[in-house]
Amino acid sequence: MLARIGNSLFWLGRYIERSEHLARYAKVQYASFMDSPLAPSKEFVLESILNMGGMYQSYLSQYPELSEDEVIHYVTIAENNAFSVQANIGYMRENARGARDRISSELWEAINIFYHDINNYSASRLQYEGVHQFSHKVEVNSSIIKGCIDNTLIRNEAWILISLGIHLERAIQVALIMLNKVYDIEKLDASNLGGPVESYQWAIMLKSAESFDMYKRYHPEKKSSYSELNFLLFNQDFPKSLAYNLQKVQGNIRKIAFRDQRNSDSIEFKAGKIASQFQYLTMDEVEGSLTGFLNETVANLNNLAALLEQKYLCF
Amino acid sequence: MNKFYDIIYHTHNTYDGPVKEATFAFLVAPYQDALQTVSNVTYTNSLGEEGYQFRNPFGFPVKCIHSTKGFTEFEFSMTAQVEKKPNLFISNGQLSVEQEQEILSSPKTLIDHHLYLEFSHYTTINPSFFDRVLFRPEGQTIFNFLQGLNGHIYKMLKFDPEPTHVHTTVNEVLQLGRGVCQDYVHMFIAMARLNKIPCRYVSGYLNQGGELVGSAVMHAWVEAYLPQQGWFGFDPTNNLLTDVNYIKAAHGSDYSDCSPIKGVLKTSGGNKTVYGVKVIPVPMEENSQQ
Amino acid sequence: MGVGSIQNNSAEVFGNYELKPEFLDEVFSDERKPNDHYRKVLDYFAHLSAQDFKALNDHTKLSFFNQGVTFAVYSDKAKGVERIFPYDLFPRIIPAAEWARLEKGLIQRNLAINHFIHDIYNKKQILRDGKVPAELIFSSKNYTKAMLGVKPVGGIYNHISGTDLIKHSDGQYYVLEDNVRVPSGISYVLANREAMKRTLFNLFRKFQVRTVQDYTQQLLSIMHSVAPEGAETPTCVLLTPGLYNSAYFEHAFLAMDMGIHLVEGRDLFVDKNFLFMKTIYGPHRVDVVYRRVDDDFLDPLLFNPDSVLGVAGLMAAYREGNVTLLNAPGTGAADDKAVYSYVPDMIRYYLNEEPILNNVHTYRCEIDADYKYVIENMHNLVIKPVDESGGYGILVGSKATQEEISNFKDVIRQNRRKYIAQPIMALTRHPTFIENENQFEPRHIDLRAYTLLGKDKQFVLKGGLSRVALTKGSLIVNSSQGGGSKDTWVLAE
Repeated sequence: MLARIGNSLFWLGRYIERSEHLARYAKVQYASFMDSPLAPSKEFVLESILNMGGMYQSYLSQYPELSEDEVIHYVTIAENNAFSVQANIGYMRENARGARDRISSELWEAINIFYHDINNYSASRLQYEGVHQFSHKVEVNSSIIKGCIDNTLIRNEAWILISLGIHLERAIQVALIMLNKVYDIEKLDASNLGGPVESYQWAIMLKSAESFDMYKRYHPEKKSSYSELNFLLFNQDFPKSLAYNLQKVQGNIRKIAFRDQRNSDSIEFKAGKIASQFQYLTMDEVEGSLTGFLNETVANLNNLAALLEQKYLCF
Repeated sequence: MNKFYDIIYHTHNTYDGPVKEATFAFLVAPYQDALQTVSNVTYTNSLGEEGYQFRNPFGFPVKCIHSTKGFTEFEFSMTAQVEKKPNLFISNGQLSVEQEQEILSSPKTLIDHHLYLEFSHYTTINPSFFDRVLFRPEGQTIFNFLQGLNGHIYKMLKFDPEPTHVHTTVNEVLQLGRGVCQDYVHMFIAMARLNKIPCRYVSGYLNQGGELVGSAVMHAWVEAYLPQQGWFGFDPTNNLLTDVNYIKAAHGSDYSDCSPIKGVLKTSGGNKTVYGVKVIPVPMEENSQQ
Repeated sequence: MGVGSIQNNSAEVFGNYELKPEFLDEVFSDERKPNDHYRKVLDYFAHLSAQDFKALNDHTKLSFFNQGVTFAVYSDKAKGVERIFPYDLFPRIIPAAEWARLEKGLIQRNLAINHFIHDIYNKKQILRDGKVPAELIFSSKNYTKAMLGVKPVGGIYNHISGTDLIKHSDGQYYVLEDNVRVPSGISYVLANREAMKRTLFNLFRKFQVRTVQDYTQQLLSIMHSVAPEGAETPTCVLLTPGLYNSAYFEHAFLAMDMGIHLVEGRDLFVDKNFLFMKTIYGPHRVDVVYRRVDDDFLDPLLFNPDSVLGVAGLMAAYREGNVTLLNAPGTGAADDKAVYSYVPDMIRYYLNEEPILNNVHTYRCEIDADYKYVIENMHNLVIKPVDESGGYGILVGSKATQEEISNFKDVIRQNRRKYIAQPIMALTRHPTFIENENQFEPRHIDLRAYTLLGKDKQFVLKGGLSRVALTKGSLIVNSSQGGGSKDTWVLAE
């Protein structure tokens, strides 16, 4: 497999997850504001959405204020935003096109149809249908694409690299969701801390990671930030948790069997180190310095991705 | 009398941005032929790459270096030893003017030497400059004409390294009236070919004078085809016929076939090149025989 | 005046079908009766209404679009604009005997061209014998000195050729053009067959149509046959200029179907005169390259130094015999429309045979007598530049205004070597479904046939790309300017 193609497949996986998470996050935050007395202000929500995409500064440099329509438009389909959901879907498709001969026709068609649909999304349609419809479309197509990946690709390097991209990016995105929510909660009035307003935010966190239902089933009795964070960080069996995804990352790296000495510089070693952290750490150990821990994790994952690219996916 | 030389070619390149991947091709080694015996050709480079060689379309050996090491500086040198035999004496030969012309215009000549009769962007003279072109008068032999052409160009141009560069065409040189050896050679080639005389660009080394040693640059001259006699060298830059002081490296249709160094690099930003050549005559042993 | 003898629903879509005496229609004879091999098609179509046709048409378009069977037209600079290659439902049928002759003629012609290319880069005997003017060949901008003395594996230069043929009003096939550099279009042939099978399967199975699906297998086998010696299981790749090339879909399609790597210049490098590709596990040697990159961009060390599409040192590796390139560089010297007029002479010279396929009479403006004739008869001629493709730069004398003709005369005068002229051929016509009119109308048609040459093997695709000029009355069928295509059926008997 060409290094460049490997790179495209890796990033294909990453962009699938990235666009899905950004779309879902916008949808969930926006809905949160609409339907509950516990909801924070409109500005609170819009800021949170922009932060998730790392677009707060760039938005403010182009628009005078946080307006609902502008922010939603900016995050989803604005042409002047290189990191919008639409842009990410464009990159996803470009990477698929570059690796066209390594993926199945079914997968390619699913991606291509999705791309053309989102590419032609007009501002008026977005206004009329709302961010909920838009995001739902993104989530549904993302599922179809992942279904094709799962069902039509032989488990060779192509599948392994896409899978690696998906799980790595998912881990990063879930960590970012958690970081954002911690940050959001810190902005709440002190009077609201510890009460239903705060709990509502933690519930939003779970919904943003599409984990609310499973969490309730897994912890019917509990409702505390401790167990919710624990669920998303350390649960070995839940596909959105960091522990689960990092296991997958490690496994995929092993399967690729890159020729490298198993020394502390190797990809395998570094991936293993992060994954096992999540195998054996407990919530108690990280609760006190959650933000720091999450930031460190995101940094480690980005470093891992950079190392992977530099060593094997470079051309 | 045979002459012996040590030839050194050296280049030092520096780059603004790091070079991620590079391929260099050097066409600088003296060429082994009937008049030149070449030995101990050695290549060294600052990247410690072994490199490899291939023969270019004209049959000359090119030293090639491919590297992914990543660098901002690159040094390369070639050294060789050459023993030069003097040319045979050439003049008008045995043929009459009519016989010479018959051979030149024969299909055989046109086909065998088409590479040295065609015109490129370097060697196409605009018809508006035809009054400055020397056309062979009827009845003149080729050798005499070429000698005349040599002088014609030598007088027409002034040697000046400033205004021209590697891509300069003969029309630009005609306008400037100045140039370096490359430009003199292109001019000679352009005019000789307009007179249907096959003519090739030669790149190599010139022993500057006597037993003097000094840093210099590579030199360029011409080889023209004399029917029945073969290829013979002219140096329009100095209005001389080539002799034992001219050490040939390669020939081609024009400069683009002979460029001593070519590089394809993955980098950003600019670069600086410093190159130098040494042609060192080796004094003969006191009691060696000729 | 319509084709009255066809009843049922056909009146809806064939009711206004116009026959003209000066053009042969491939489906209907001049008594408005369908030619034998088309009878079954018309019977089948009789059951379909105009609405049905429109629906089938739309369905096929969508299918092509979703699959990405698109291309970009050069003059469109808008971002992300992809066009579907228009496809027409009415298949073009070629009976077996007619095809057999075509096939023999194609092999003969391409073998002769191959001999010619070898000759002009080695002994140049045909030039010495005065059969082809030496000056014509040496002055071609595609004559590549880097090919002098090269001995490619199996002596093959012209591995893949696309021969453009037309049928004239005399019922004979004529070769319009030879394309031996980087001919394209095969993916549309294969996509059209797929589309035909999906939409009109019931019609398709009424005939015994020879397959086109074997093309890629044959091509791969050709590639293997010309691999350098010592390469036991040769590594073959397809070199593409990349995503933004107008024919990218085809590059990807072919690579996939053959099961070979699709690579770009940046994936390759040359070291020690061998070609390698950069894989995730490190460098891997490459033996055969099917390159869809033009000569000038192949090797920045030798040709265009600014090219990022090629590989530095590739030509050296090729000359050393360590890698095979399909097609060989420098084949363009035989691709030139001026050289085309000598192909029948090449057949006689190298093969000692009479040409099976006809050339169209060609006037070379470089030659004084021809030039005089051309200038005096421009309104009856098609004038073409020798070195452009895609239908650009052509003047069809009968369709041009006085002013256009006068301007073109100036253009020719300034560069006579660049222009040739041919009599306007009366291309046959074929019923094509015109969307806006919701009916079938006759359109001029040609055929691009694909021939493969390998070491001791030859293969001609049983079919080809039948191209129709979508503009009413237009004779320029080439795809870059908005033509369309039909599935081409070569019958087994």
